[in-house]
Amino acid sequence: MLRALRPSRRLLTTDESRVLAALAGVAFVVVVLFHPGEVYVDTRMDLYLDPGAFLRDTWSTWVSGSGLGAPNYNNGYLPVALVVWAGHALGVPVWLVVRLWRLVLVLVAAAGARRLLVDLTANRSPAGPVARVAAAVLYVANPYVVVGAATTPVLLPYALFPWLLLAVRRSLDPTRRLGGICGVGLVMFAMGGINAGVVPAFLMLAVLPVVIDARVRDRRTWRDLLLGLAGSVVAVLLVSLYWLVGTATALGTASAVADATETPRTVASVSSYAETLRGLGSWLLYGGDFLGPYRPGFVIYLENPLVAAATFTLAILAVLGALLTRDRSRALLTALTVLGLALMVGGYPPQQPSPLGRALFWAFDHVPLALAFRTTNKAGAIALLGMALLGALGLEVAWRRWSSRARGWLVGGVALGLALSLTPAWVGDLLPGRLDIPTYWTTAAHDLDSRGDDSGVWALPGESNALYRWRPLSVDDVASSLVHRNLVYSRSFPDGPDDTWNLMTGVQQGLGSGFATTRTLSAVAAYVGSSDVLMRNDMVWELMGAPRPAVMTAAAEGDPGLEPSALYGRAGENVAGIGTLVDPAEVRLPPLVRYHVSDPGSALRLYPFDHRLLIAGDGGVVPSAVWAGLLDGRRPFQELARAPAGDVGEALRAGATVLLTDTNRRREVNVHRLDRSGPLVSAAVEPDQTMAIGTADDQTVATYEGVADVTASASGSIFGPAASGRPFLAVDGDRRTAWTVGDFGNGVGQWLQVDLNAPRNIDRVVVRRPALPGAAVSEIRVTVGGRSTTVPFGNGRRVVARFDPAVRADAVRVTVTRVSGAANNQVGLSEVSVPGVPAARESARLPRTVEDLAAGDPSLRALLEAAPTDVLLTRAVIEGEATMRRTFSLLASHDYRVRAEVSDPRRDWRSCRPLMTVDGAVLRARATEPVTHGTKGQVDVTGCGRVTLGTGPHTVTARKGVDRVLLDDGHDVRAARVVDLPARTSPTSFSGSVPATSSSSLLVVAQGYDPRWRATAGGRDLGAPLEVNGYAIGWVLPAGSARDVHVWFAPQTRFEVALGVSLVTVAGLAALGMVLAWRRRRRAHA
Amino acid sequence: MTRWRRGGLRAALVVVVAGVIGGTLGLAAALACVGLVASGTVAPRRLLVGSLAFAMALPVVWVISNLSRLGTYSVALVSEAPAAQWCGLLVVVTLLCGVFLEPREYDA
Repeated sequence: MLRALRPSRRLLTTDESRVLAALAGVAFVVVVLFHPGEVYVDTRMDLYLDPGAFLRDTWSTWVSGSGLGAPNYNNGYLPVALVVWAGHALGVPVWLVVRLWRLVLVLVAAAGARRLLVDLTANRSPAGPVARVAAAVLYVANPYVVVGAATTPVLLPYALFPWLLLAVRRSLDPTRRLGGICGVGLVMFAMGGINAGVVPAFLMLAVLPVVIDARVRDRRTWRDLLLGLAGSVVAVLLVSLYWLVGTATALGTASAVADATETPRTVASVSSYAETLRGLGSWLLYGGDFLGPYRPGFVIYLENPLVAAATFTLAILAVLGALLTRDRSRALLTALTVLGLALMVGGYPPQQPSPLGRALFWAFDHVPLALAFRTTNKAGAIALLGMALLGALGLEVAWRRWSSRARGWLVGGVALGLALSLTPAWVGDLLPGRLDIPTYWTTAAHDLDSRGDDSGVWALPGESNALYRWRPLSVDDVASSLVHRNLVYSRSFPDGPDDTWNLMTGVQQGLGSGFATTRTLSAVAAYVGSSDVLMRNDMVWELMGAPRPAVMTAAAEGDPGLEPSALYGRAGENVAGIGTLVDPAEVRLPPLVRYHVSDPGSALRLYPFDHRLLIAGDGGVVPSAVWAGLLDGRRPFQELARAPAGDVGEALRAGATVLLTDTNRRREVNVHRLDRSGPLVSAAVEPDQTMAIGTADDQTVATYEGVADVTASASGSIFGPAASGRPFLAVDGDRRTAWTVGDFGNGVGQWLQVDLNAPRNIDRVVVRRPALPGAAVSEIRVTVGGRSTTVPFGNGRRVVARFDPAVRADAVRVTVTRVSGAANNQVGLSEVSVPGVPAARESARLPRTVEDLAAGDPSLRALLEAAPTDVLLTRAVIEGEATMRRTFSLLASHDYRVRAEVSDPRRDWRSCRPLMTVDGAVLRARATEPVTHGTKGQVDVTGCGRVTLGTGPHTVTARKGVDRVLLDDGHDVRAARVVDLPARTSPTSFSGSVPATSSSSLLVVAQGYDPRWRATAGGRDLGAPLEVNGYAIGWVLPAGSARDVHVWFAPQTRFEVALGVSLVTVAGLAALGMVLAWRRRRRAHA
Repeated sequence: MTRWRRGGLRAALVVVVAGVIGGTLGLAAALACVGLVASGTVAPRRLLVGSLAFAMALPVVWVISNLSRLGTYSVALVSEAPAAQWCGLLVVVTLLCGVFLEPREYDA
């Protein structure tokens, strides 16, 4: 009997094998032959476009990322990279490699489901051919495979999942334990650890029901279960060791990326039981923007009633199977189904989740790394396998029992249901992510690569997701796969070290605010090791909040340090914006423009040690510091918040100067747009996600006069932080401005709190609401000193909450308890006032890092007091700041020359006019000769007199239209001599030769700072690295003769050991598995 | 373990699982299923018939409850209809109860 169950060794000799072959042929046609020659990518683009480099990256713990390097959390791509690279090496075209890879995965999945069903039913009632064929078909012909598993990171584990359960079952069988353990190890190695192994980790949850099933149904002893599981766990750990070590190395980066992308509540907003039962519920399917749906090819699942109804076919078959079958495996299959569905549903509905949903949300919010598992739809393989096998068993029972006529209806109905539920496959939409790279891009990439040195290419503008007009939404930037040199670009979210993000996004926001003046771009290019600037006019800048092409072009054309060297593409090709966003001047721009940097940077550089600029603030100051003449691409700088006190002392002794800035602002970042952020907040408020570095003392924070603080549950829109409608606007005494919040019906429950400077007797609180159309706050609860009163607005805009007797308190909280009107606009309060408390004034307090350093070390204090100290203030455009009001403190008296940039073309600055007040005294300025204009028509002005500021606090209040102010201490900024070092580079090491030097230097590698980088010079360890130039790795190199320097990322060694262990284990398991299979076959023959 | 004790344990497990994954509605549905089975009113296999009925009704419920929104895709969540969600949850809970409240496993 057992022999009869064994699959036939000869092909196409049974009806079953012929049906399966025919279905495989259909899969071949659908996956491979539709749209031949068109390239679709289902995961990282470089996997297919540059498989050699991608494969090399999988055994590196540091990769280029968005150009300035990042720890790698994708070593787990190794098995996939090997397969794709092999296809590429055999000369298979890219489009075919992608198709064949997906076809293989689909066939492997089908074969696995079939084999698992045979194994589960082998003991008493073996599955017949109908069930076997149905299992194979149902597991791969469902909407989940089309939508949820449309990418390799999901489809690969999906395909191998049945094989994993098969191997686990065998490992629990004492007669096949060793072979089973080998199988578990090999399957898990093949699954890899893509995206930190999230999907395989989900699928491991299915092992528990399998173990319980083995205990209950197969009567395995506890010892057998323990031995099988222990062996499997060891095998899994050893084969996965390489990516576990790699992921552990990149934990910070992986967490930052997870924090910045979709939230658990977004993911759970659509994953209902109805949707997951039909194999959908993946949030991207339901989303879109003004360019259209995110997944346009799959919208038919939501719009077409017939297709929507057909998608329930598998769910109906599964329940039918549970009802009809008598097989004992149905308990296991039901358990898998319920487990998988419950996971896929996750936190749905996010407003009122089930206990499981609440537990998941709690874990995502509180447990480190748990956030990586927020897309619970990725557990789909568990539910789909359970449903497919239940459905297969049910179909077989029906086939046996029903008449031939009924069978015909059954087969026809099921086939029609499945076919309709795969509609995107029949109309050529099965493969999403078509990649049709314009010729101008490949030409530009070829030209850029021909330079042949280790310098990078700075690509502008920065981006959120990689949005090009010529391709669908994508997270990964295709440019990195086309240009083999280091392509440097900023992103609105962190995908590398925090400080790299801080610098690059800060610079990008400065450019977007119109603060690019002469030499800004060329100076930044030099700091980031680039010799070319590539202007990308074909990006969807309006969706990313990036500066428009006209602005960026003006910045580049006005920079004498940049020379246009090539134009790519036709004028206006993929350049024009959408609708009213079209600028007539831009339609004449080509999509790509290459500029050569006349004083370029390089990967490995020697900067002078004695010439540093020490910045209280962050790298966002660079555009303004270039305007101020303090930075030029050659002078090294350091952020004081990141510099060790000892190094600061050394730098000051060697002649470094200090710059106080109003950068490093404490505010929530908007990870979706480059031109928005949350409002500046006080030191007491913890922003959810911020770019600011260091502690509140190292940051520019909001301070208030009149009140101690004003905070709120939220402000602005639910679509991300925005400075509009910040809480301060409710206490500023201006009825035209308001704290606004709670769009799309989220107003109720929002609160605003005013903290007073001291306790006082409060008998009433006056609250006003703004005159806005649509929804409005209609009732509030005012809480003072533990007492609350609820007051409705009625038809008026002003209410008075009375407290009789008066309450002594130091805070007032106003909570929105009711909102009227059904519109989706924000609601808010224009004024909350307590009689006797004046309207508040808001200031930005500059970082106190210098004071803190001085307070901690008397000798350092003396050096800081003696150091030339400039003050550089910049209007925070992305916070919507109209006028600057700043407070800061000086350690010593300074006599300042004043320079400023104003963007008020109506004023005539040829004669002295009021520019700002300094500690209440008016300071006048007039246009600097010769008069120059910035990219937005700004005028440079010079103070009509000097200003002397003594030790202690000071307040500067600029007039409207003043964009930047420099209080110049008058020291000379000497031209620095830098030496670019030709280097031999790999992703994790840099080697070069340093010429003889008569004084100390700074050895700087243009890669994002990570303390795990190490360096030697002439064989001598240079110690822990410093952070230089706002992001880079640097070491102090003592004077000495010519010598070799070697820089490397230390975790790479540990990773290589782990990789060796994994590969040896895989080889061992494969060899052992083959020997066991051979012995088993020989025994069977005997 | 007696048959009653084993049945009670299973019932308790089913109720807990249904409550954890289905919230109040899941808990109520599971309690109702257990009550019906324990009182002898309904055999577990009839629960599976109910489950099948819910599953077969789901496409109709889904389409009808989304009728006004079909074809108007923007950022709309076409699948939000509460009736479809409840039916989906009930499919799962009755499936769970139907399979696991069976007094003993059997083979063909």
